[in-house]
Amino acid sequence: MLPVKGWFLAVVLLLWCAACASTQGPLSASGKPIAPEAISNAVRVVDEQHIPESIRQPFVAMYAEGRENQALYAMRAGLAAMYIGDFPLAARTLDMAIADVDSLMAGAKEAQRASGKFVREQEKWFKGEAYERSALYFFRGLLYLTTNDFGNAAACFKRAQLYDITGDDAPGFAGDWYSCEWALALAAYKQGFPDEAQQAMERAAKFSTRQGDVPPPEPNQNVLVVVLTGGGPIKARAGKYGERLVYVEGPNPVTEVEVRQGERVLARSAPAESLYVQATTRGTRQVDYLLAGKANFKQGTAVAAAALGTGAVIASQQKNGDVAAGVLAGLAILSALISSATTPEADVRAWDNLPHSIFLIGLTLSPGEQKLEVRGLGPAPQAVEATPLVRAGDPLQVVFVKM
Amino acid sequence: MQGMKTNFIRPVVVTIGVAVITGCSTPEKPNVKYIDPGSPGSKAGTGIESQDIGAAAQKAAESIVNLPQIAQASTPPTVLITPVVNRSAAPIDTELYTVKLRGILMQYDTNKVRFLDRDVGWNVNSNEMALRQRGEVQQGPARSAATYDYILTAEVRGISASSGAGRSEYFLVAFKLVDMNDVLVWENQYEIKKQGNDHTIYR
Repeated sequence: MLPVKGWFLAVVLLLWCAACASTQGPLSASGKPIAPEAISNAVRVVDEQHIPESIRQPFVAMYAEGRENQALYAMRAGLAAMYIGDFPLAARTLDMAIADVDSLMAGAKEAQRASGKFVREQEKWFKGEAYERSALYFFRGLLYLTTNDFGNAAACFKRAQLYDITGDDAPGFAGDWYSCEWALALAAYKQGFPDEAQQAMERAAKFSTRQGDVPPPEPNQNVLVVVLTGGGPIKARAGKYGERLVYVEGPNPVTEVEVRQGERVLARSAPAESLYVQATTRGTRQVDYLLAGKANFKQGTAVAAAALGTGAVIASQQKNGDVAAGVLAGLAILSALISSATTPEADVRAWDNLPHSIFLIGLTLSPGEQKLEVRGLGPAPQAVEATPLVRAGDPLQVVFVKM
Repeated sequence: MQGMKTNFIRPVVVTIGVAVITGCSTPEKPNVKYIDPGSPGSKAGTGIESQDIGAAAQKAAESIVNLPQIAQASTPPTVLITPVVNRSAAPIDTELYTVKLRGILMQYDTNKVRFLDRDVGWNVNSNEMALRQRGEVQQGPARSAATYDYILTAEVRGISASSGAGRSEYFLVAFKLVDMNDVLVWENQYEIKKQGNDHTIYR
């Protein structure tokens, strides 16, 4: 019996060592160790690109944390660049995420691998959930608006709706982003396609995810105020083995926005979009069935291990039952190891700097520098000053406000 | 008896070893390779890609140079290429179409057609003229900026659909040649249809 015990001891030690080795040093969003040289190389690349100090972190992570996390950090970094007003950098970075999200083949090998029972879902290339993919195209569309490329902006808003897919149990929620139809209508007006604009607003009027009264865009508006408030949906795991992806609502400090010029109220609007609502109206994903299968397998092998272990104990108490006990014990350990190695945990990597709500307010302002006060109304009221410089003949000026 | 035990243990260890190895991964080494720009990319999506732009521009260029208004003109007509109008659900590099189309047409025969390019020299040339008139630089021949005979433009339209089962997209690229009197003298269409689906793990 001693050699058998020796083998098992060796195996247990091997597994223990492997487990220890994988927990040293910083880990990527996928839970893999990040090599020190990967970090130093990423820092060098970010230095060479002169990325502003305040938004370096997601850029360093984008280059250091492996190909499977590139789109994740490109989304975060792109939005961070947009928040500080570096629109060209934001556009370039979001385009990197789009390249992965739009490609059907990107990360196909890793996706196949992550479908296996012993590989975590979070090791697949990140492409985001439906609401994150739609948000990606929505924000890219807004950036096209900043350069007055209304054709590509409209294309992005249409594509955002395409990515808003749902499961069979949530059929009424596919392609129901009110903000995308609103922005599409504005882009269509600017292209000289009023019929297309009106059709977009007619579709939007039917969406059950509407958050309240949002004044529609008008053809002669030359300033778009985009107000982004609160924090986006937070992903969490539920279920016995963490196999279910659930969402926790992020902070929502503002439920209504008012734009003032002096004492005059220029516009007042409800949110054009709630990302929490979009995240939670997705319905069941096909990957949910896959993860549930993994969880069942994990539970089944754990139950088998317990039954085999009990059998081994009973066999060991029988006369001449040593061999049977040994075999059963071995199978019990094997089953327990397989159960332990099964990874049904849902992928909770998330685009974590998304807002809770998006407000879209169109204005018609005279040329020159305008002084606006954007007031956020709700549980945590706040006010931000915006001073867009409206140029004569400029079809649209986009102002971003973050609260 | 000892042999039986060994036979039992070995597969166990091998299985565990395989499971441990499966759980580990080696980072992929970066690599770069040249591929034909006209060939489908390995990371294909259902949107418009470089090979689609090249193929559409090639087809349009072949058609344009054989137009009687171009091929039989006594003096090479001058064409102004305007940016593509995108009405599809796929963002595209609208400048790339015009640059590609102009490049292909120039390869055919530069004596058949000339192109107006105001993006490159308009501001610089106008500024230089002002300097000449103020006598700040040498006087040169008088500037007489060319005008065009035709506008070459293109419009991309599309029908796109998606569901949990996959994506399907159809694009129609319509190139148009319009003269100074707004008469459409030529149109050429190019169709693209693609469909595909993501891996189950993304659906």
